[in-house]
Amino acid sequence: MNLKNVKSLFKKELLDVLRDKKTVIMMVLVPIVLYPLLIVVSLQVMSKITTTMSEKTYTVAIESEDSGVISDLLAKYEFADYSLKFVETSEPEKALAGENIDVYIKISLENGKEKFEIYYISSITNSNYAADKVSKFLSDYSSDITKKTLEAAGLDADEVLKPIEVSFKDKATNEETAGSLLSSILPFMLVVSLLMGTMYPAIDTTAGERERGTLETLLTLPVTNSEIIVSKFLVVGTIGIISALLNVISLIGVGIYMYSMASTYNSNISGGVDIAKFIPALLIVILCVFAFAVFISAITMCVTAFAKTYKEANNYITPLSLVVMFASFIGFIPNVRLTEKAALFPVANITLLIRDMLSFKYDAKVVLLVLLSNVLYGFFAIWILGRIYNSESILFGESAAGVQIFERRKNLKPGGVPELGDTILVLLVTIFAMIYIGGAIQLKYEYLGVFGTQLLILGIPVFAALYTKKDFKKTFRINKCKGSYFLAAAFMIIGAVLLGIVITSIIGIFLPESIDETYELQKSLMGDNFFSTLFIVAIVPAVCEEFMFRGYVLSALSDKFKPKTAMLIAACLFGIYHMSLVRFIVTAFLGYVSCYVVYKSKSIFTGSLMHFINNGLSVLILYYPNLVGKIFPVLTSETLDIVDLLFLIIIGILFMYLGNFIIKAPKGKKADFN
Amino acid sequence: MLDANNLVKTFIRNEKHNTKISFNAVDDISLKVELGEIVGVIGPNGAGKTTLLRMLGSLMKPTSGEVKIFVDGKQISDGTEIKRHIGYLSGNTKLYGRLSTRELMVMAGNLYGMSEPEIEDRVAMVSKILNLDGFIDNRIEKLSTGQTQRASISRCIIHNPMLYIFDEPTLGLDILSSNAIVDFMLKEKEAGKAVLYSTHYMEEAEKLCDRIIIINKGKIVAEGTVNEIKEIGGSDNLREVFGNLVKSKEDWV
Repeated sequence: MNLKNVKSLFKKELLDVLRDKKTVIMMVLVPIVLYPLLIVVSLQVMSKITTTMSEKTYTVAIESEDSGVISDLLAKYEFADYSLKFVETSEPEKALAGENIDVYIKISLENGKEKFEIYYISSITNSNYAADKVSKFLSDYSSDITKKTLEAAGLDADEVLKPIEVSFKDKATNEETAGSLLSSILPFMLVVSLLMGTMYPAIDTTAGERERGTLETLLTLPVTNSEIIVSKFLVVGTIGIISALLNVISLIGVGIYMYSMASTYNSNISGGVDIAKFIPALLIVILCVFAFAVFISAITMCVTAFAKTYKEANNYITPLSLVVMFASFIGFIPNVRLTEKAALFPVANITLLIRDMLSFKYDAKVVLLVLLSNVLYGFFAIWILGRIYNSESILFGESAAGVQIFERRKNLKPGGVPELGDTILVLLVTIFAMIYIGGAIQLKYEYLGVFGTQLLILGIPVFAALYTKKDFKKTFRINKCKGSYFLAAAFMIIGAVLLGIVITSIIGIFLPESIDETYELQKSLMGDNFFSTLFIVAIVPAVCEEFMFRGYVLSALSDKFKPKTAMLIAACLFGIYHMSLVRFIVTAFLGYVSCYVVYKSKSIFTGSLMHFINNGLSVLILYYPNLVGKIFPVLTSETLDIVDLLFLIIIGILFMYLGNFIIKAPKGKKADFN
Repeated sequence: MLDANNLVKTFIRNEKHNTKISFNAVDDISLKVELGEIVGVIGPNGAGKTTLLRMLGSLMKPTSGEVKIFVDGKQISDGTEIKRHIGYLSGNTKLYGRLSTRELMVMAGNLYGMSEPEIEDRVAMVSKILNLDGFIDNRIEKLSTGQTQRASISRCIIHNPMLYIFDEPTLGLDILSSNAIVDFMLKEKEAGKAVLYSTHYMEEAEKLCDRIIIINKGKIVAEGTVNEIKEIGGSDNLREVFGNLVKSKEDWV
């Protein structure tokens, strides 16, 4: 990559984007003018309403069989003190319904006790306020009577009514109060402003460029794809960061305005806020903005790059922004804690981290994990973007990410493999189903719930394939294959498992907690007995997850990308699906090996076998650690030294080499063990 | 200057909804363009002209076959390097509407690896050749069709390339604008440069081209000088020749 080229492309893109009215409006006008204006105006309207409400007097009617009670009350109390005005009416019920009066009181005597009924209409604001005033008045009336009774009995009313004294003292510093106020709105604001800020430049530099036909011009110039992508990415990220920072500045401006307004009205607020205390938190927040900018610009560009026109890109980005906003709402839910697992959940991790930072909670490891995972996801998206720009069928082709699932079924012709758009939808739906439906049924039915979740993972792609009339056999690679491939698959997976142990223990050196996580996971899988666990943990996923990842996803990807790229994306998706950063590398690696064997053997069954062996091995170790430990000590030993690791690497590579040798062996030769 | 051998480009075409058909848009084409000549590529719509020129300009990678160019006796076959020595223009190479012609030329010059003073000199020269003076600093989206066309040419000649590849450059232009392009190509040829261009217009091709290549369905049907082509096609009218050749080919497919 030539940095000079990136610089000139960056300059060109930035100029081009900044001269687009839409971007400038979204980036500058909305945060600097619109938000503050809206907030200030709505605040003023609110305060105006409150003042008129408090200054207003409300009309009240009183109904009583004994008219003496009414005149008694009127004589003793100044109604105006309670913002009330007594009116006489013969039909108070009608008058209330006609809004001629705001509230009326019905007084009756029951067992020698005065009974007050307050009639009001809760859907009318004035009536509500009036009822409030009446209740205040009646409470005074009631305590006056109490006082009188007590005094008549010769007691000190104050002593009896207030036997203890209660007062509240807020020990939160001004900074903590300000921080908690900020943390309730800033995270969401930052995420949304970054999303909004990157959206238009992302569309403009990808789909917009293609629609206007300037992409082909760019391709005639001696620049590489990576230079094009990096420069575009930098522009989108820059615009996103600028708009986020402008949002923060305007938010702080509005905050100061609100604070000064509040302190003029309310003398309780005393002492200033020491801005210096926020500096470390704000620095990390700014880091978060950068990391999230990497993530969100890469994701938006990745989505829009599939589109051919501005309009199409808009259609793709709308669901994405809904998902992002939804995920950022998690920051609003109290008691959701930023655990190490939550730190890997995109968007939510940023909102939670910013919230925690502003509440002065620091955990260096989690901070690092959040920043790192954002950048990592971002780079993965950029890598996919690179594949898109390498794919002539997407760049020059008709439409890249077809979505057929919303088309009418009778218009679809049977055959072929899934479209990319459908695949993305299927993955999203599956993830949501897994989290919400799967989570719920696992809570309720435990082991059966796990089974049900797996059925969802199988059912959603199968339904999608059937609905869009795909070639079922081709999509899910349901083909017979030679026995030698099964042998190869077994060799490959055993080699991969051994290398996986090496990877896990190397990660364990850097992140000791990861070992605990793996252990916990294994423990949680333990069911009633060996066979039921084997069924749920090894057999079911070997069918369901294979259909999803080595079937539906891999077929769709290999239709659009080169085999290696397709396998790598499918493997990474498989890794992400397991929702653990520490296990990501291992699961993605195992996923890649499975993809490779399935692709070569053209049969899903080899993948199922590999999946079964891998998961079955874990179950075996879980139930019979001593037996396994006796035969293969390295599989169960807690710590591995360098000699063990080297041994594992050599044996692992040897197995994989053997497996690959069988796969690549020419047909009909001795490799065919069938 | 340009030497392409056995170029093949296979596409997978999406038929309505699900069926996919694999076909060769360009099917085993070899051609040469020498310095100081204009070579015309003629063919009906969908013959593979654009795909062929895109491969020659390194915008697309051939499925098989190779493209080489020779500069100062040195052979170049790396795609990005090849682009450095080509001026490529087509109906699909639109300009950045929000930039000015000058900004566009400076950007292109930078990417072609020219130095700042070099770019400055060249911008002044190109502006004189194409008469850009009145609008060089206006946004391109504000220009007239003819001005836009000249801005487009300025973009692809800023680095003074030795080879031009033009894909139907005169399509949809009025006579004045297309004359400007035709004149430009003739001038560059006289300056000893190589020009490869595709067109629909027989008269234009007859007037301009030293050699003509007629392609249909991804294959070369006939090639040679205008006179040779006329002989092969058995007529004195190039339009009829084209009709005969493309039709007869269709008959035996």
